[in-house]
Amino acid sequence: MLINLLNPLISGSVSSSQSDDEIVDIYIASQNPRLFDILYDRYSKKVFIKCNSLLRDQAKAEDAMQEIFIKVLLNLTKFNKKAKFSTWLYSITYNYCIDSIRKGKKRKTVSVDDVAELKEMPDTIDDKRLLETNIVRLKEVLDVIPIEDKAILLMKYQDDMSIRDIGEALSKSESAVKMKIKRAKEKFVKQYSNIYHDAI
Amino acid sequence: MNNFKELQKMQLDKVEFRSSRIKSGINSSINAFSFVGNMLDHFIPKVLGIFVNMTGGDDNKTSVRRPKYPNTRG
Repeated sequence: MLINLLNPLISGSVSSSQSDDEIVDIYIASQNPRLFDILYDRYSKKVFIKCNSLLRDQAKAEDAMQEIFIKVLLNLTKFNKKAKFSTWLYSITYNYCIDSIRKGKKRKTVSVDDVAELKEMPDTIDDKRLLETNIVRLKEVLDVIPIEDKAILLMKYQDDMSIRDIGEALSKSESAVKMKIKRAKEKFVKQYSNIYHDAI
Repeated sequence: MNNFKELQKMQLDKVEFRSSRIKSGINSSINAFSFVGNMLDHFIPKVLGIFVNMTGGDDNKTSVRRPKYPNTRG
């Protein structure tokens, strides 16, 4: 098994065409830093734009990215492959950014699970309308809604994460995630009409 | 049509960050962690052994008391 994993490494055929999971397996077996470089080159830009978009500060985003990749490397053996590597990496990214913003401002939060009005209410905002929002306006509105709402919308519509994956990333139940997405969409629409005096 | 993805593409096209600085930061942190790990691996058993010896114990549990001379009962 180990020899099979190391074969591509020994023959020098580890390439960027290999899947993330294969690279993770070989990295765990060999600790070869070149393999980490492949993963870094694959995802650094995406991780950076997420950090920069959530933290809204280039220097903080660079520091966050460094911490995130260190966290990923130190926890690589815990990656259980239930979800894709990218999903796992983005979960760490979103959580890191949300936590670092929360550290800055301590405020009273109420868990969505605890809110009495948490019932399965119909989601009235059509996804199609949301996805077709003008790009410039989309960016502008995403920049003014709360970070948790922005993160959950990006997870769902930009990273195609499933409700289950988002739930695991945020440690929430699936119904809580659905409710959070619904509320994030409502806030998006409200901010959109506040800024542009128009419906999406 | 998904403008969330289009927005990401647009951002990816013009993203700029100090990639090599970040990569070397990651590598040096990982090297520091593994150095500390190696140090602990090497020295903790020895320090524990010294402590056990000082408190009157025998840290070399696997050693069998050998007779002083061969072919004798010691």
